[in-house]
Amino acid sequence: MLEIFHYDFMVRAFEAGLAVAVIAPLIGIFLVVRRYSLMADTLAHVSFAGIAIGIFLGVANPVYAALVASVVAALGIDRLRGGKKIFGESVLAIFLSGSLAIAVIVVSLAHGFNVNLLSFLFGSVATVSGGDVALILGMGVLVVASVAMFYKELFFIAFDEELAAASGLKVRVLNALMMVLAAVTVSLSIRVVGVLLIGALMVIPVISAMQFGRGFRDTLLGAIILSVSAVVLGLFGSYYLDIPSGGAIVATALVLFLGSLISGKTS
Amino acid sequence: MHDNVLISLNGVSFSYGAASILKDLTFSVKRGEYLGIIGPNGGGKTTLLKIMLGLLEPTEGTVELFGKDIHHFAEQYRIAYVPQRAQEVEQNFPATVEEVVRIGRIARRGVGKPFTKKDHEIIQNAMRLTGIERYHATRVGLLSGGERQRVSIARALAGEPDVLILDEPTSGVDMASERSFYDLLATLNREHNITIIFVSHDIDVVYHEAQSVLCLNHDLVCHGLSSEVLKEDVIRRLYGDKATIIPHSL
Repeated sequence: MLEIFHYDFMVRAFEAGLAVAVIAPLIGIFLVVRRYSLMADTLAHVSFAGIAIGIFLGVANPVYAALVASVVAALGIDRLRGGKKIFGESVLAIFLSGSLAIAVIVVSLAHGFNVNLLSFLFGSVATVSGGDVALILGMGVLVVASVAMFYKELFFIAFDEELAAASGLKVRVLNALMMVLAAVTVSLSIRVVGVLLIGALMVIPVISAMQFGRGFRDTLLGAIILSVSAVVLGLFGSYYLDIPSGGAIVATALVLFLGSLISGKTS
Repeated sequence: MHDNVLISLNGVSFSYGAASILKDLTFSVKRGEYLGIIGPNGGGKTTLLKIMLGLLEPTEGTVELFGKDIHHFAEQYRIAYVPQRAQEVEQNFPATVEEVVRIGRIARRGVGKPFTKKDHEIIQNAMRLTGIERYHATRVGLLSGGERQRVSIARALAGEPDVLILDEPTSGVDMASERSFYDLLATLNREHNITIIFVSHDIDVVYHEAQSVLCLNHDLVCHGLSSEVLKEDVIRRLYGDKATIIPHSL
């Protein structure tokens, strides 16, 4: 069974996958409790536009282009949402469909879809390079360190944004930080899980853990354990069943969600 | 500015576009005061609280907190806020009572700084004082309305505030919990010297609980000792000629 680790590409997939498995729910929990579950999907679509532009322009690693596009979009979403002239979910709809439109145009200008771009849609372990692993691990550490440093404040804002502002916290700055961390997490994860499925990895383990976690910390730890389990089992499934890693990981997360729903009800 | 004046409004007006919500309010709140704010719905009570908290910017006039212009005041944690229906925490929100109480300490400790042993002691004391210690590990959404209201107060006390501002604190709370809640506020005011400002739609509660009252219907209708100013003519000016006073007690 462990022959899987004889292949360098699978070792890289596990390294990148485990990093993603930790940071996806770490950021996802703040999005879920603030009713921003669609934020991850929106940023994933923006990342896809970034990747299309990156490939079109011949950028060596298009994940960097995705990173830039999603961070810029995240700050734009935060600004528009803060202006309160447009409903928050409408802002997400604008960015989601707008970025997909840009991606389609760029793909058309590049004379069609190619396999490389498809691998970003559904995730492909075979395409994870050593450079990707270094980028994912490096930025992953940055995401974990940022959340660890501002955990209390981010929780406060997630619990009650107005109350946090009344107590003197710089809510706009912390919201912008949260959006940037979400953008970084999404763009780093698409190599492994894919654009269309990263939202699920950020959300499903969190709502699964919410079925039995009493507090925020419990729920976060539970979500990370479930996410790591889904990624490990999903990567094994992807290798032995020869199916896309993103689909295998999210399908495993769904099975774990059903399990938590049943165990949550019975307890 | 006298040291005892904690909040001072001078000529404060506020409008949303053409709609004037508050007109030319001038008053101050002194240390140790227990002030009730009454007035009809839409009369600007919550807007006034939000201006005092710095959440809304007045269209005209100035606000001073602890003798400093609000724009230069950096110790907002000295004024704790319990918003309207603070007890309506979503049942599924994953937070224990202790996690919620802790957030009241964050601004006092400083952003990005870990809690010290003393912070943890103060958080425990806030839970003990409000009688919610035994629920510390319970999900807050599973508590009753009255218990959640106590969690809100404990959260506010964890920041060791000088002033506690509450907006309709007992809406959705049963009568027994309401009585013990106002007893707790009185204790905080008398024994811990915390200045209390609360908005209520219940004139009788303000009359019996608060030491002073501020009557608001866009402009300041009355301000003074509740036993002296809460007369029938003032109530009629606030709520209209058809208003009738029916006394009750908690």
